[in-house]
Amino acid sequence: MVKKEIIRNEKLKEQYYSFEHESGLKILLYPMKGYSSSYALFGTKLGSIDTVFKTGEDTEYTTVPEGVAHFLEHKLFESEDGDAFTLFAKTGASANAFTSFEKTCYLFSATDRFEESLKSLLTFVQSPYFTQQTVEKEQGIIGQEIRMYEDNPGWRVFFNLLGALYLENPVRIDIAGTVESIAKIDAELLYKCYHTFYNLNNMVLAVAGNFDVDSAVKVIEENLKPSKKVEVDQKIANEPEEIRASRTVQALSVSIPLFSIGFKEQVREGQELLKYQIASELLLEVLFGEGSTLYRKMYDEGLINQTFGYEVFAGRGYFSNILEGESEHPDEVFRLVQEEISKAKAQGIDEESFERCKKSFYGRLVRGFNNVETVANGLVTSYFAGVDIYDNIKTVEKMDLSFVQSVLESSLQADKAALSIIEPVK
Amino acid sequence: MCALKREEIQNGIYFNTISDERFKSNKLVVHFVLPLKEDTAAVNALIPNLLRKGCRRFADFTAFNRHLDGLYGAVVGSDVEKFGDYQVISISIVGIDDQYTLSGEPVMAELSEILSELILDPVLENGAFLPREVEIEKKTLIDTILAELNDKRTYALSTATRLMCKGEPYGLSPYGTVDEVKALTPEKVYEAYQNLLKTARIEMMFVGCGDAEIPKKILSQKFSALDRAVLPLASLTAHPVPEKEESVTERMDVSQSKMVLGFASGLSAGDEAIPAMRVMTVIFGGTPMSKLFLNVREKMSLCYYCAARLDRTKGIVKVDCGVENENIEKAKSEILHQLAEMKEGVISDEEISNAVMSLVNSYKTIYDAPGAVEGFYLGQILTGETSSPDEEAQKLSAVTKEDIVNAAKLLQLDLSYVLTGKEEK
Repeated sequence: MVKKEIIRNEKLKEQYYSFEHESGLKILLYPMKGYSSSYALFGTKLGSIDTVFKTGEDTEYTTVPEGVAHFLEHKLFESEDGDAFTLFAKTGASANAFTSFEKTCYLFSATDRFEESLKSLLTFVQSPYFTQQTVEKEQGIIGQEIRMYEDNPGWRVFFNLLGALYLENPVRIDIAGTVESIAKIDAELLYKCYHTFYNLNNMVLAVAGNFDVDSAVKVIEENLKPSKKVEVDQKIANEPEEIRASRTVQALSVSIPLFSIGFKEQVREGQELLKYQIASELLLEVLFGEGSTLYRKMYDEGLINQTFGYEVFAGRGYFSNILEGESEHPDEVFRLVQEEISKAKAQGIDEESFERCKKSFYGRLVRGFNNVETVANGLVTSYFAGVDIYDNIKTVEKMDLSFVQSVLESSLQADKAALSIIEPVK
Repeated sequence: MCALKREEIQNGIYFNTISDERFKSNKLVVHFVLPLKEDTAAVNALIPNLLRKGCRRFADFTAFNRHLDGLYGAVVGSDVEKFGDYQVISISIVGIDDQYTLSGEPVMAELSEILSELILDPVLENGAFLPREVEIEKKTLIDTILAELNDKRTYALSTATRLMCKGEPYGLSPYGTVDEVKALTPEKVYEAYQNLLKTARIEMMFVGCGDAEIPKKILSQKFSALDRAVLPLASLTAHPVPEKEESVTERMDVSQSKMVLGFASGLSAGDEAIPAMRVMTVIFGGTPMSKLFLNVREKMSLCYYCAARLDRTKGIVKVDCGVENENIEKAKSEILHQLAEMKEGVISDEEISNAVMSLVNSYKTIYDAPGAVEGFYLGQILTGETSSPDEEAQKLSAVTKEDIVNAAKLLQLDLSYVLTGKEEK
């Protein structure tokens, strides 16, 4: 290891270790005293939005079919000697993987024989094995996964919204791609993506829970294969400020319509992104949280129910504020939401509401440190976003009303708003 | 670590403590346990939705939510669940512990006060709940009932349960039906609420790092005023093994078909063969190393998911999968083939030890999340057990291959349910 640091948070009375390996791999180890399980994630900065990229050696950008990152995740579980799940089954560990918009992670949760499972995780992620035959078999399985999501109204209402807000950014395409796009994937393409993104310089390993730091470091050092540093240039789509459509409707077999309201916001990164994300969370809580006047009005009038909620959806090249729920009258909800925003823009936010929502948000963050899985995921997410896991809490503590006020003024614009509806089949 | 301390603080009211200093929060839940019945399911289900919204001290829902925000985002929850033939009505509150507040101010005593006031001191008018509130929450409950259709996997599983257990309490929805909810009046709901306080078994649970004596003292004192006449709960009974299989096909506008195969074993919670049935279900379809995953998904490429799960309260094993319409029969015959092989003893020692280790891992992981610990112990209490996750895990090591084969032999196909598209493809 070339660098070792201990990062502490006094308020939480907690700390973790951050290492940097010669290969460029970042290693974040967060032992949690008294816990039974350990949770490890090995992740690469390759998500569904990374469809256009080049390495330092390439002159031209390569464009790959949508769904490649997710396809690669499925296929990496297969090696020349069989299935990676076999390795974990021997220790009882529960292994899995997921692909999101910006990353792919392989993980396990174990309560016993942690070192063996950690070795298995490191081994299988560093051993790609793709053949034409296994790729074809996977097309059938992922095809069924895509079909499953086609019937999922919660998934559809969200992606239809992203499709209305974004014109260029691949964030608007389903993470698994489409049946047509995955048909274009072959073994050679998987190897190309693997060798580009699965170099240790582009990856992170995070562990939280019950384990010994020294033995973890030993297992890691022994099981990292030599890896050439590859600089990856992930092209961020040139996204216009405008939205594509302000309303989109799809009919599915549902009993109550679902809606998703989105506001397209200015893209940011690093600490600045975090600050805007937290300010937006607070803003949405003040305006639309269960303690807000509008929530009460809409709930009492039967326009929304307990499924109503909000989300700040932001990352590399995208940022939007989203409200979602079930309603017989989604257009009326949309109208009231916009009316409330105009009113708030004119009158501003009061100090009392701001302080109350800040306290509530802080409490929720603290509770997250109860859970090994939340901590391990938090380590990876913050690393790829260029921040630290404690930065959330620190940013909330320091947040002031005037900043949130300025965010309100510059965001939630009426001409950047879209409404997505899933209505019952007639 | 995480041992259960259980005491009866009053007639049919139990206070269960699981103290654990690792957590940063405290969770306090009051569960009312009642028999699940057709004529009371809907009215009981409405009660927690009304109670969660306030009390006389915080009569206004918005003011109440603002107060909770001020208590570091304390969260009040309400829940209605089916556990075997029981209906469990719950109100909970979760908040960070006093030692983690920004200036060290205490919050736990206030959380305990709030929970007891929500339950015992609701806003009333002319001896009943507010008519306007009842109407609002009736609509919310109807939305919950209707929304089950939105997630097709969940819908298929609960429809299969309804069909399999027709005539049994377990075949009912814990929320009742839309028509039953529509017929409710503020008076009827208030009557059911009083009945709940008087006759239900009450299980209070505390999980957290704080001092459990604080909520125990507050809740004991507040609940001591109740006039109690507890109705004993019947023990949980198994779903009977049927004479023959039933097949049901439902058509809807969907792009992927869902199939559920329901098997009856005749076992119920607490039965000696339950640990063997757990291991059997995991080998059959519980992990990515299971027979269903390796064959139906990996080898035949028919499904993205094909899994088996056990409901120990009824001795029912359900296998469910999402599949193309034209492959339904192929998938069904492979699932049945895998089960038939298990009945004949086609199970390797490695499969057994993998399944046991996977279950042991799940049991030990329970310790790490307050919600999981709470849910585990409530299940234990309702089935008359007190053993810890570790003790449950130990029971598995005694399971032999013969026990597993015998468990598989108990399974009889009871129902084949298919949800499929409107037109043949």
